[in-house]
Amino acid sequence: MSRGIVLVAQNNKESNYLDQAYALALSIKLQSKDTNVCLITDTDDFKNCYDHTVILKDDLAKDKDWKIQNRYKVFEHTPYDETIVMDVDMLVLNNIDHWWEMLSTEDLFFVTDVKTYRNEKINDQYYRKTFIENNLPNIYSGVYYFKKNNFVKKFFMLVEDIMKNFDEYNNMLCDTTKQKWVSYDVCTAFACKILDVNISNIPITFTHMKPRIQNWNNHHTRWTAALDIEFTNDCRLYLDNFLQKDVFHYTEKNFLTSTIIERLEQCTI
Amino acid sequence: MSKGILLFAHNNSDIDYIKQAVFCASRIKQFLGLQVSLVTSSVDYAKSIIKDEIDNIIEVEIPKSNNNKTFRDGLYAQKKLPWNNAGRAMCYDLSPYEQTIVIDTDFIINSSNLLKCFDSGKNLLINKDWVDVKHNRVTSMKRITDTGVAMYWATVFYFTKSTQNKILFDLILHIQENYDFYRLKYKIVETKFRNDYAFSIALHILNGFSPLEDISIPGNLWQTLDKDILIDMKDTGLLFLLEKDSEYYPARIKDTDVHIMNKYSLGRCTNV
Repeated sequence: MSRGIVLVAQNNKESNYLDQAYALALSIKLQSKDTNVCLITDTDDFKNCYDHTVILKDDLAKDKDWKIQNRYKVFEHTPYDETIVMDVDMLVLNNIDHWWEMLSTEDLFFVTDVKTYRNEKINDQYYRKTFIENNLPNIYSGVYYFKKNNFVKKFFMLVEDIMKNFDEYNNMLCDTTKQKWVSYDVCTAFACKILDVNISNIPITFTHMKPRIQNWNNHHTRWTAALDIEFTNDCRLYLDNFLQKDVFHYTEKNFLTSTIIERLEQCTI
Repeated sequence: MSKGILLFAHNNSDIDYIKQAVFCASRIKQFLGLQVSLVTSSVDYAKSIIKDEIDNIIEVEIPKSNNNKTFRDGLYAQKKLPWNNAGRAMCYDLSPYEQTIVIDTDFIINSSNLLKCFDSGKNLLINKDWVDVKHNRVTSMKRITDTGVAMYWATVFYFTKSTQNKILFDLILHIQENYDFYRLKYKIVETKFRNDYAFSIALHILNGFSPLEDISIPGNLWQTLDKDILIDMKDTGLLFLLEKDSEYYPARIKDTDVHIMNKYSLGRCTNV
């Protein structure tokens, strides 16, 4: 059984998601050099440190600014029997090889609990009102896992249909606090609800850096302006003197500096 | 394993910490039945007032410190005085006991609660939180800054002699000696040295720059504020006037250890 991590990245005018994917792939390789990493993208112009690459032929996000329209295609394009999918604005800061064993009993898994940079479980629902108020599975598609089988195929076919007909599903499944734009978190939550997918409470999590959910008394619009960031020569990350571990979802693109990428390159190569 | 309590007392012009320590030691004997050692720079004066409350006096030089602090006596009186709080980092080396509890001298022992420390099986116990005796006036600082590390309160703590704790207290001393650096590194606005901050930073560092599991002393750390006034003490009962919104409310507390922030009223009630 082949296993690997798949990243989907397409640049837009404002953001270099391919650089983010490259940094994430380097961080994965730094922690576990034998882990397979696959990039799904729309161009052949990228820094290559991947084991597999897939160039999208039918790019549904061609004219879009926020390019999430192709994300359901991971099922079709993954070269692996077991796949972990990660948002590209993440870094892997510890070895996560044990995740494969933890996930081996599942067909499909989404992270349901996330934590702050101080390792506190996030209970704040500021960004999750659509999920809570409409009784949707409170899942995070920032990290998910699937096996290639018929059930999961059906799941992704449904996600495709939801993404292409978002307003209809949104009206059908949300009475209040509707998501106003197509969100992959919401689309996958719709699919889980329709198919009654039982998401296990496997303790796989990631650090979620959206600023409103960091258990601060004072509000900061950007965490990168609120915290001291230290990325050491040996690629350890400290935020206000807290050593970051496991998977770090930075969410703010200005976090990823050329210095961080250079240090990842130096440590990996 | 030898067990005992370590008290630190360095007087300033208004507050007689040595008399507080003698009173505190008498309560320790009454409720805990433990050996007491006093660390002080005023040995002759201490000897002149101690009867049999303190078993051992450890002489040290008065810690070098430029710390000043505002000491309140209720709502209407306050004075800025020197605050000699810099000796705590030495308690590992100074303590003659294998299992030690360090207590602020303004902590009134009213129960045997602290004896639970010795049976905890832990090498270190220190509170992460305190409780206001008049609930909901102020909330205890949970962190040294809003975005920073957890706050630990050095009012009362327990430690054993162990390699790990030797490293901890050496680190606390290092933080104290380089306090300006650590204060900036940890974004502490307050300029005066506080043991609470030094302990909090050291515990965070020694746990791999990560949050610790709870190592609180069993029971709550009850605290009154410096605007409160201790009126009377009888046996294990304490009578206070507790201030809220510039009004005073009487309250009696029984069988409970309490940290008294108004040192003047403590002095009056204990006749020290």
